[in-house]
Amino acid sequence: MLEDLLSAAIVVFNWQTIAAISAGTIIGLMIGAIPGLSATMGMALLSPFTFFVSPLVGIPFLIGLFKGGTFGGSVSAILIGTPGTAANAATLLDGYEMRKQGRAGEAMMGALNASLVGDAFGTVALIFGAPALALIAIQFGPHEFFALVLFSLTMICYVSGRSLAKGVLAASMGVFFALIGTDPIGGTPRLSFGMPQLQGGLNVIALVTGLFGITEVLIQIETFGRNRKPVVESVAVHLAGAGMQLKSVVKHLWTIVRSSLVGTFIGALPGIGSETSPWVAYGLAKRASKTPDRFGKGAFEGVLAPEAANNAVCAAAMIPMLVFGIPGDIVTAILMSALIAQGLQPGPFLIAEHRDVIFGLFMSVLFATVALYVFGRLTMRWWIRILTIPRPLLYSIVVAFCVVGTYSVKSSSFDLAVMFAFGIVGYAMRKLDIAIAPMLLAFVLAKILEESLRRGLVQSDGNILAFFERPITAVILSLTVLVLITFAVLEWKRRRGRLTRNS
Amino acid sequence: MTWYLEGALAAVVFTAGALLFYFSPDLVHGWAFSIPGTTDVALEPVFFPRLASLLLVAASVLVFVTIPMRPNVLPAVETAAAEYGRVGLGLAAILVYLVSVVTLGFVVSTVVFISAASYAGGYRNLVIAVPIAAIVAVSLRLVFRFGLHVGLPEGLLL
Repeated sequence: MLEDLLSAAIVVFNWQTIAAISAGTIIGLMIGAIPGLSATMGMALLSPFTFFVSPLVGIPFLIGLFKGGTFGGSVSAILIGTPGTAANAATLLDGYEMRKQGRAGEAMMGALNASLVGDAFGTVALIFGAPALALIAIQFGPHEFFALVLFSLTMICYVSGRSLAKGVLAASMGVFFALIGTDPIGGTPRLSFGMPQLQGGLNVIALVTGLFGITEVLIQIETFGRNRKPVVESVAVHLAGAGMQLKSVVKHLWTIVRSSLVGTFIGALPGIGSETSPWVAYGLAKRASKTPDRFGKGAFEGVLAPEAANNAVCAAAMIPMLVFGIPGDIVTAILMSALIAQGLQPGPFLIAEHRDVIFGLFMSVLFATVALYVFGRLTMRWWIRILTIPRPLLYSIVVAFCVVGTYSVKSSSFDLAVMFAFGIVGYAMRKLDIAIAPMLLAFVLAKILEESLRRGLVQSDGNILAFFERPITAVILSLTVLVLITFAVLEWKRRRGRLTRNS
Repeated sequence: MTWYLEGALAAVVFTAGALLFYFSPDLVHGWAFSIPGTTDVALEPVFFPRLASLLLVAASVLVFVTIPMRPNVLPAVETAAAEYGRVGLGLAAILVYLVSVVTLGFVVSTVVFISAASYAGGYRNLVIAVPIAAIVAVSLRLVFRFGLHVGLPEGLLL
């Protein structure tokens, strides 16, 4: 394995890959720093660019973008109290308080250092965990895959929104949209209404771009003039020196390590991504603190914990996607689409069949960690200026990128119509407080869900109970039911408590 | 108001699910190939669409019966009519842009769209907006044409 890694390092140590990682990281940092633009949207807009270059240039670019975007969100969370991405929402609690106390530089450097450690943990887990897990995944049949997809969808339904029922509704809509196209078993058109453009199914990039790009533009148009944030030019950021930084890392090492482990573990679970782990890490840091009262009032650990956790997720979330072909969140779903576009089908055999490329990707994940630190440190002062870009100009350019990204995949005007339609769908969902992630994940996973269910049923002569007779499947399905019941009971108790308080 | 909106949503999804269940046999094209001797229900083309339709129906019922358990607030209700009006105009502008990209071409449409949309959005400095729009449009066109070898719509103009 070390031999593989060494030869992969030599392969990816060329100017194209290094330039791609650097560009991805810098663009990610910039996108993450702008409130409203997230790593997810950035990847949706820019992933089509990678379809036309070598996999060891295109995918590393996206990995850099993901990592940069996840850290970049902390800049606006700390400086203007608006998280650049959902993954940085927990950073805001203490980061913004620190900025008000004139400690913005300390918070930003702390966030960068914690992100670096978290990122390193996730990367190590990916490099050593994915090949080991692939050996187990090879034993999986359709029954196991069905159970795993169902578990992922159940988790994403709950963690993505504030209502389990609405999460289920969104997921069922995703499955419905995935029906359009071709029957994966019989190979015949279905729900295509005689339109040749629909026979290949809805283009996932058009969907993602519409749901994230166009929807966000519409939200910005709606809220224009509302909730104006303070001007940030006046923020003086004093960045600490190297010695000071090292001292602060060592002082809070256990908080960072614990949060990194939390992020790595949660990230590796299918269905739960970067939005959950920072809150768990934050809660644990608060509980472990000798002075929990300081949390929410500018506690340094309150910045370190979520930032270590959310960056640990970046690499760890790639484990279920690469090994099982099951993306845990939207970002990894986009990464999976990019891999498929390159002819690399994620799944148990990916590592065995494309060992050189996959180990090359592992090494580029490692390089991206270094790039994140270098460019994060060098360019930190720029992002303060980024926050002052006029919004109308910025979002008009975002629309142009949406068009380019969607059109370029198949040179299809029809895809532009799909993107526009899903922009409206996404906006309606946001207004009705329905999470978009379950719908998109269900759309991406529906094919595996359908194939594994139908093949599993055929193998067991139509006996649905056969799914419970296999040990791994039985464990995963029982876990799914348990999680579902627990979530439903928790939600019911919470609502009931609120109703009682109101009355 | 929240009740009406969530109820309407559940009703729409329920109807879609019911229609899909009923019309599934007409919406699938049968068998591309037949497997001799098989009688498996799971292999029938209508199997998964019907299952998906039942999922839609069940989800809509779940949303409907849990309405009283959810807080009586929705972003849709908190949005002012003027804000919806602005979104409508934004949508119309994007639609016009998409049509013009296909008919007139990417570069010209993008320069006009970015400049006009920025101006309408309150950024009135055209001395900055127009050159930026031109740089974005031309550089995207060049990157795709010569870097990635992918064509963008050229339309009547460019």
